[in-house]
Formats: sequence, C-alpha cells, structure tokens
Amino acid sequence: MKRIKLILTISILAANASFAQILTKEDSLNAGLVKKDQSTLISGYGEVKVEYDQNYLTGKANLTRNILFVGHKFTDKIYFFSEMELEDAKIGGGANGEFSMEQLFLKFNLSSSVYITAGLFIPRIGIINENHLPTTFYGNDRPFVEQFIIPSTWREIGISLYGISRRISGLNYSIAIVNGLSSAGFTNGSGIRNGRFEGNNATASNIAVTGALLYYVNNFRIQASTYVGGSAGISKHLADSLQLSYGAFGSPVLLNEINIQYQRNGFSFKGLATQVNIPEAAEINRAYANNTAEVMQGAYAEIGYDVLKLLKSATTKNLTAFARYEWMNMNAKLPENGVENPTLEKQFFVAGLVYQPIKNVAIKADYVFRNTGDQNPALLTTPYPTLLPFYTTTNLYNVGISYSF
Amino acid sequence: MLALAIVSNTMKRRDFIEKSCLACGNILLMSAVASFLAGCASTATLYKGKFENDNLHIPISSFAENGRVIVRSPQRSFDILVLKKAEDKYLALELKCTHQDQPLSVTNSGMFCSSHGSKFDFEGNVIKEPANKPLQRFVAIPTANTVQLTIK
Repeated sequence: MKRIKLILTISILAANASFAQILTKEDSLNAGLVKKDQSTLISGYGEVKVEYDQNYLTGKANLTRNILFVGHKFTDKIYFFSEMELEDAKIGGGANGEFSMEQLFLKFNLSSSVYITAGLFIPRIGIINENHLPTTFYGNDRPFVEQFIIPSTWREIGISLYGISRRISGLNYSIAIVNGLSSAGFTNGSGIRNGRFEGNNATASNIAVTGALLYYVNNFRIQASTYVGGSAGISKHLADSLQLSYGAFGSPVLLNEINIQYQRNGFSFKGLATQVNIPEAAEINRAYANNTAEVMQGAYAEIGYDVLKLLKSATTKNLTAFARYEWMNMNAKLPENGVENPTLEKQFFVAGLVYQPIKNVAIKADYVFRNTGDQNPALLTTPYPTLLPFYTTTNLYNVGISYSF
Repeated sequence: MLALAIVSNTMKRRDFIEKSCLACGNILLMSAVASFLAGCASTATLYKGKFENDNLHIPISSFAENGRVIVRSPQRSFDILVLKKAEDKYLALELKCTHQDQPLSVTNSGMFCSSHGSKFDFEGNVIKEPANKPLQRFVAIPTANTVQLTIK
C-alpha cells in the first residue's frame, strides 16, 4: 500500500512539474516538450508601486497592472496578438479595478516591409502608446503628459497600415482609420481620455484618421504624428437636439505631437510636445456641461544616464539616474462658456533611479514634485468639512517593481 | 479633403481647415527633415534576388559602398542584412525583431524596431529591450565574386 501511495505521489509531482514547465514558448522549447515550430506565445508585463504623499502623510500600495499577452503565428504572413489587462488588482466588491482588452488584432504581412493590422490596436501617437512596457520607461509613473493630454494605451477598433520606406533608409510610416471619440465622455481634468471607447461598443459613424512618420537616424528616433477625428457618433435627430455637428468628422478633435529620443553609451534623452484642439468645445459644453477646453497643450523633456557604464562598461546590468520635467495646461484656451480651472496647469519634476539586474526586470525609486495653479472656488461642489485641503505643490515618493517577458 | 467633404455645415470650417493644415504641416515637415537627413548617409545597399536550394549569391561589388547589403527575396517574409566584417568574414542577420516578429529598420548605428523600440547592434545583440534574444543568424561565405548566403 505504501508503495502504491509513493508511486502515486511521484506521478502527481511529476505531472505538476511538467505542467509547471510549459509556461512559455521559451520554457517549453528548453524542456524539449514541444516542437521548435510551436507558434503560440504567452508573455506579459506588470508593475507594482508604493507611493508616499508627503502633504497628506499617507501611503498607498497598488498592483498597478498585470497584462497577459497571447500571440499566435498562423503562417509567416498572418499573426494574432492580444493583451488582456487587469488594473489595480481586482474588480468588484467595492474595488475600483478594471479588466479590459488592451489590444486584440490580426496582423497581415504584405511584404518584408509593409503590414496591416486590423482589430483593437494602439495607433502610433506619442511614445508611451506603443512603447508602454514598464521596463522601457523611467519612473514608476508613465510621463504625465502622455496620460492626460495624449491618453496612454489609446486603443480603438480599426485598420492600420505600417511600412518601412524603401527609398529612405530608417523612415517608417503608418496610417490608420479607427472609430472616433465620444465628446459626451470628455471630462474636465482628464481631457479626451474618458471619451475613448477602447473597443467597447464604439460609435462607428464617427471616425478618426491618424498618421505618423518615424525616422531612425544614427542614435536618434524622431517621430511626428497627427490625429483628426469626430466625437459625435450620434443620430442626426439627437445631434440637432444637442446642436452638435455630427457625421464622420463632426465635433472634431485634432491632436498633433512630435517627439525625439536619443540614446548612446548609457546616455539617453527624450522630449515630446503635443497639442489637442477641439474647435467646437463651446457646443460640446452646451450639450454636455463638461467644461471641455478648446486647446490643451503639454511637453516634457527627460535625461538619463546609466551610471554602471562608468564603473564597468561591459556589464549587462543597468543603474540609470534620470530627471524629467513636464508641463501641461489642460485649459490653455477655453470657449466662451468654459470655466477656468487653474489646477489644470501643471508642472512636474520627476527624478529617480532605475536598477535593472537583467533586461526585462526593473526596480524603481523616484521623487515627484507637482505644482499647479490655485483652485477655482466656482468649481468646488464638495461641502466643508468633507473637502480635503488642496495643496498647489505636492511631494510624492515612489518605489516599485516592474517586469516584462 | 475627405474630412472636408464629410464634415457637416454647422462646424467651424475655417478652424477645421486651419488645424488640419497644421496636422498636415507636421507630417510634411517631418518628411522634409527625413529626406534631408537620408541624403546625408546611405545605410545599406539593397539587393533583390531569389534563393535556389536555400542559397543566394550576392555580388561582392554590392558591399563596396559601406559593407552592408539588405537582401530582399519574395521567398522570405523578412529581409536579411549581410555585413562585411573583414575581407573574408561576413555575417547575416534576419531583420525580424525577436520580441514580436516585426520588421527592423537599419541605420548607421544598428537596427531598430519601430513597434516597441527594441534596438540591436551589428552583431545582432540586443542593445535595448523589450526584445531579449539576439537576431537570427545565417551563414554567409565569400566565394570568388560573390557572397553565398545560406538560409537553411
């Protein structure tokens, strides 16, 4: 009997060990358990942050996000990509986390330098949208300009063409058509961010066109992108009632952005400037009373240096000291019916360290100084004493871990 | 023009045209800068050909300009960069990012992936993640007047 139990135990342990091995394509290949041409890949990324607010003397620990990537290669020309995201660890039960598809698209290779994606994807706008893996940017937070002015991980449903120029070496281009935004969701303080559909029953009678040129030359990466889209995918009847322009590009939103990156011998530089124009902000405010601005602007510049390069140039480890300055004004220009909110003109100074014992793993520590204008009493709706004191300057200390594989 | 045709009568046309022109200007400016910079330096010579029995012969003269040749073949989904490392030593690297199988751009300082920002050096090693595996290598051997590229 003891012998049977022993055999059963060993069998179960062996089975568990086998399942534990087949976690990723790479593990499976190493184990020799699947064929080398296995074409389904599982990977992911995530980040955890602990933040201390010196003004309120409070701390917060959060599993910011965990993303599961599943990709499949049907043939050399057709691929499937998907990213499933859980933000803030859990949903339901009073928790305010979010579970969503960050991307889900098919990719068709037309040639060695041109391909099409179709489905839910992130167009090439800004830096963080496409390159949002937490091990590839400095600091625990994504640059704030790329959260508030250019919504980060801005995905919509559509079709996009990507290519590499055959005539001009290093030049890449992309053009996409996606569903438009909803101006009903625009929010004072987060700009167009809440007007995105992110693949959830989007209105497709209003659309957007976006294009980008990306140029690699020596150690520079230079990109310019633009977005033009409608934000009123509603019926003619409703649009007339709300006195909004409707149709494919009705109640338009325009976004322009340019960025430049440089990296050499452990030194890196990154700079970005962007502007959003909503010419019919007054009509949107009249319809939805959401205090939409006509113009929003933002820019940032960042430098970093891998100090381990000084000590040991051949090391694969990385300890980067960085500093970033950001400025944004989310009510740079208001329509006649807008209410000024000086707290939306912000400056950030972020400085810190990123340690990477290996590629794809990062340990981060940083300090964030935020400065804003004063509150406009006309916008305060929370009565005293529920209303917390407002500080125009904020000091935050963050530590965190992140990974991608 | 498409946008102008579709947009409704009630919107502020002048404002829309003005901002749309700004958007186009952004892209055109970028194109002009790119064209100017591209004229400054050639990064690689393009060679088009077909593989026969997994072999393709590249004329030695193709390497004369800067020692780099991009091989493009209708039989391959991705280009191959062949580098002259010494008189009798060549290296071939597949221009496919090891992160998510995207095509790579070749510059004078290495290869870049436009999708997620990975960078590789001319040995195929990862310089910048998210990629964490080196590029696929192929055999490239000099013969009398050609370099024989083998993809098997």
